[in-house]
Amino acid sequence: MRAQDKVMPRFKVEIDYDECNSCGRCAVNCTFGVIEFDREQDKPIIVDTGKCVACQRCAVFCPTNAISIKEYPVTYAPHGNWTPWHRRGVYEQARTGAVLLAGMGNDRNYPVVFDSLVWDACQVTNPAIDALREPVETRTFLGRKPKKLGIREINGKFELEDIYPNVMLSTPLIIDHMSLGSISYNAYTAMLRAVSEVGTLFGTGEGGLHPDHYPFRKNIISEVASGRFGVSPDYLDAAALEIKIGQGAKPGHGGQLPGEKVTQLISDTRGIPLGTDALSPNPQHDIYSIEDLKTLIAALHEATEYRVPVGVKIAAVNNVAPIASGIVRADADFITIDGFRGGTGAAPRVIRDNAGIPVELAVASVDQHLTNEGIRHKVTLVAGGSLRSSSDLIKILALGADVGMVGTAALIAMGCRVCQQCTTGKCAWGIATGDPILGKRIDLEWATRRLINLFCSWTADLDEVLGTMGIDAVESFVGNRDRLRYIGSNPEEAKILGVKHAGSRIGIGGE
Amino acid sequence: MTKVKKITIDAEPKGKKLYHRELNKKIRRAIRNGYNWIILKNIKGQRFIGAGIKEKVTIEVFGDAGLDLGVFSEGITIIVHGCSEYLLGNTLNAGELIVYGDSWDITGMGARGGKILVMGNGGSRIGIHMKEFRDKKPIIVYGGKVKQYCGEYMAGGMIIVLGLDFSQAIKDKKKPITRENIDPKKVKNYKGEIVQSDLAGGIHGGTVYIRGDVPDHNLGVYAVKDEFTDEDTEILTPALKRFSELFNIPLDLIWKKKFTKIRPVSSRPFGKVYTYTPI
Amino acid sequence: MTSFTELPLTRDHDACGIAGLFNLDRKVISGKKIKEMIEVMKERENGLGGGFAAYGLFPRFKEQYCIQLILDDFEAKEKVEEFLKDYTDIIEEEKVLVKEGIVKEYPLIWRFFVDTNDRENANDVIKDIMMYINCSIRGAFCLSGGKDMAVFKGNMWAAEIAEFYQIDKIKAYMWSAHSRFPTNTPGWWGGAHPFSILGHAVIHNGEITSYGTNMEYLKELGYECKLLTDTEVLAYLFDFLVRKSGYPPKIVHQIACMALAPPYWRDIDRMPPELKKWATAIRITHRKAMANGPFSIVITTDFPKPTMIGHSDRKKLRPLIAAISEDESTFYLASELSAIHTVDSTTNFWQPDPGKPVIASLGEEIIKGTKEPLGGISIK
Repeated sequence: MRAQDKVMPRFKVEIDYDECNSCGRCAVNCTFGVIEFDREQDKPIIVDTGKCVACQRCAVFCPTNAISIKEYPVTYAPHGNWTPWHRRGVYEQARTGAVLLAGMGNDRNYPVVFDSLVWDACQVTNPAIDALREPVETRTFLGRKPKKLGIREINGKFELEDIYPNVMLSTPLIIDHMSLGSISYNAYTAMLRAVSEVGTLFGTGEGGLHPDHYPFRKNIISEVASGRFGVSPDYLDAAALEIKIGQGAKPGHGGQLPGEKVTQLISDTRGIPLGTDALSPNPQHDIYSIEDLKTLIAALHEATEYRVPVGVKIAAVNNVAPIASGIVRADADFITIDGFRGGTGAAPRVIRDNAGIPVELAVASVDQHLTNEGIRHKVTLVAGGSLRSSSDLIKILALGADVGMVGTAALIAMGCRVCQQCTTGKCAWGIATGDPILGKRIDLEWATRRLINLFCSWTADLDEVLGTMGIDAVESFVGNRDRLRYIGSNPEEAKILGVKHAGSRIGIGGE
Repeated sequence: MTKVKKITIDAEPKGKKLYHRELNKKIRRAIRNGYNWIILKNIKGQRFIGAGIKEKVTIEVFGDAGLDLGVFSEGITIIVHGCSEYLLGNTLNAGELIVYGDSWDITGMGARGGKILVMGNGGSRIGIHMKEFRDKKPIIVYGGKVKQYCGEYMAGGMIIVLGLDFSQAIKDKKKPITRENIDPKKVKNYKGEIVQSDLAGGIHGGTVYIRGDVPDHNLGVYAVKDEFTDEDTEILTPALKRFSELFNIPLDLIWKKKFTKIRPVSSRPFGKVYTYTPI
Repeated sequence: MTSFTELPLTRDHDACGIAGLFNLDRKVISGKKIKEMIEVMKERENGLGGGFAAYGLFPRFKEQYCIQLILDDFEAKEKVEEFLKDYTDIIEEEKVLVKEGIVKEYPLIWRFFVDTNDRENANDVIKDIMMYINCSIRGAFCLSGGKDMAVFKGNMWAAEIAEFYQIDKIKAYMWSAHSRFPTNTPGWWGGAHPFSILGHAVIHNGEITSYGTNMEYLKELGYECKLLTDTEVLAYLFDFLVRKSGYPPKIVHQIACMALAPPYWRDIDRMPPELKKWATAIRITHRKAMANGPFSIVITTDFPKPTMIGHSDRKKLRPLIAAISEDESTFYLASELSAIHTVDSTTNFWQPDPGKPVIASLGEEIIKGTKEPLGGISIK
């Protein structure tokens, strides 16, 4: 490496030796090679501040709060257009000639549609419901619904035909797909334990299912993606199946788990040899058209004897509404829409940051389109990417989703600091890593509890909010855009959302 | 050995074609009732026959099977006396699928085990993304020729393409094709290329064996030709023996032409395409 | 000139008085009683709307649909007539006589008796005609369009409405009445209750907090909610659940009522398995038909036979009392017992349970809304 190749560090790590008690925890915890413990000097030293990613692991584990992490004080000459972010990208690509990979979700500063929405509450004309003492129901069913029931009268008795298989969720919130490998064994297990305790679902991701996790079947959505890793009859015996067409962080792009991350555990789970690249092609090669999707859905229904709902996950893209309509007509039982802020273990940065559309607009558009086509009642609409708080969840429900999903929020609940290094597999918090030793940093009991807490508190928030709107069951809130108002500055956006501007009274504007 | 217990299911009772859902229901019921050899008569393109079945039973299909024959199954044997549509053995886990006819595109997609033996020709993307794991090694053998992207993204297992022309070898064309109905003396070799472009594009595991030469321009990215050794002969023999038994063609005749072996450049062909985003 | 038919700009909420009276022997009685019932609850209204629905009005035209309209002028009437002629045979038409001097300005009120050209889908044709007139013909609003029934309503005190239409001179076997207290806006003639589609008439006290969700659901099912009242939503939901669904007549009203106010999951969980299966299926299939928020309603319908239903929300945030006369000839519903006792001193009265319907169907045992849901249905 020439000197010219050098890029100035992003962060400056400092240890206040007046406070430091030389316990060495920081050095043990740093996985990025920033701090090491110097035995001669008997104290931790900064060996390469340029490698710091501000994951805070060292600082959090320092018992004396002796560590500080700051922006590195060598400034880039200011330029309104050529931001340091742009310059750093060029330096790296010029050095390597490669595609930049990035983890987490889109980190560009696009306007967030959620932040332009507010909701209604009861005043005078109807009573708010006291959610703490009276029932407010959040139970939701994932699966296909008929337009009407099949009832036959036989000798004066009425017989009800079975309706399609539906999975019961205690709350309209699930954890989106994350594969074992992109996520550590303990983090993965904690998520499974939490959803099984709460009574909701977690997706396997494109990574197969480890035999240890078979007992959680009732709370698992098995993903059938382009790589078909670990897809066996055992794997298909889950609460629900999902065909993954696209992911919000990388619409149209498949995936690749590099060989060095295919450890024994991953090899066992995915059913591939140790150390080989696990490649998920961009398309699914049995799906080149909507008829083919219909075929794969039917094949999964057949393979599971019509016992479980089969859904389709797509990334939110320009044409999402007609695509969703085609998916309903292809007999999907649920549709998952992943917005352009959705997370990922790894995606080309150029795609992560630019492809797709916000989930708020996608969901509103899909909900309205399916309604106009008279087929909305058939499917369950799941949406995420990204829901950052219970308020995002509440807004996405009102915009038309039956169920919200989180990925990154669940990781943050387990300690993730959003340092965007998922791609490297070096996660100091033991979450986004396949390294079995790092993975042990997640305490199973603790992480499970934190996740359950997150579900409980978001559900409690939902209860409270529904109560203040005088609604006692979440199904009366799904698609209830009437209770939302828009406070942004873009009338076109409000129109697409189907939400009136704040200050408009009920009913104004018709349509 | 378990006793063979046969049952025949008419897929067109009273002249009305059974929909795949009813047909599979009947098949599953027969399995539950202890039958292990199920004969399906009058099949006319019903899809998903044998989908997701784990039991080690045999299904014999008379007629042309529909899409996704044996999809997701694990251990079943299916014999088709006729052709089979696209996606034969999609995501197959174990078992044996035998077709006395042609079967077109995307055969054995993502398979992780089992054998697929087709007497006739294939279409595009045969064996795409097959993978192997421990003792599980999927094998696809095509008697005839195949089209482009054969073995794309292949991660394991074996694809064999023989370039044999059975079209003149059927003794009685009015009868269903069975072993007995094939005249081995009339099996010919196809002339010209028996595989098309982008052969094994993106391959990073497994092997493709093509009987005869493969011109370089037909090789896909990261696929290379390799020397055919005695070890390869050993690896190929059981599969070819099985093919010869099933389709009544002498093993020597198959060995008469040399095989071309194609393997990945490395198990990590795309290793340098990506780099991490700078901190 | 004032328009009586123009849509308001805002959606109405109501907190009102409701009453119903049903002669179970199908004998027609004068409107005097229902008028007294609604008048006694005067404190529940504010003079911004009231109305009556009456069944058994036209023995001569029993088989024809009676399209009853309010019209701004004769020009509007002609437009309606022209439109009707495209899809129906007009058998008879007449001006609805009203009393002068009650209100300073009032619309032309007219009724047509029609047969549809398309007999097979007659109900759907009439439904579409009503929706078209209300949304698209300027100066016209369709009050009702059922057979052998009509709705009389306007923007006055209920007592004035009764005077205006001379309700006590009209005879019907089933009556419902509404007096209104719209909370957000001035009332308008079309927005008064009962809200009717085909042979259903809904009167409603409450506010539907699930309006947006219900409206989307109805849009899917082919009903455009353009009149901006909660009651419209209830009427369409009822029409879908009772008529379009094709559910068995014997149990259709109970299923519809359960869909509008389903039991809580905690109650469904404790039900015997078969009932649980029914309740679950009804609730998840018609999940967007649930009417959330406070309501008590009286629904009268002739589908599949004359029936009066009293129903309330699951939390019972609006009042409703039911009663049967001592001789068991008359069934009553009202917001307050006083309304019933004004016309009948019966001691056979009760308060239905929250979220459970009272259903009086001609010739059937009355479902009192105090037992298990789907009570009386023999299910397998």
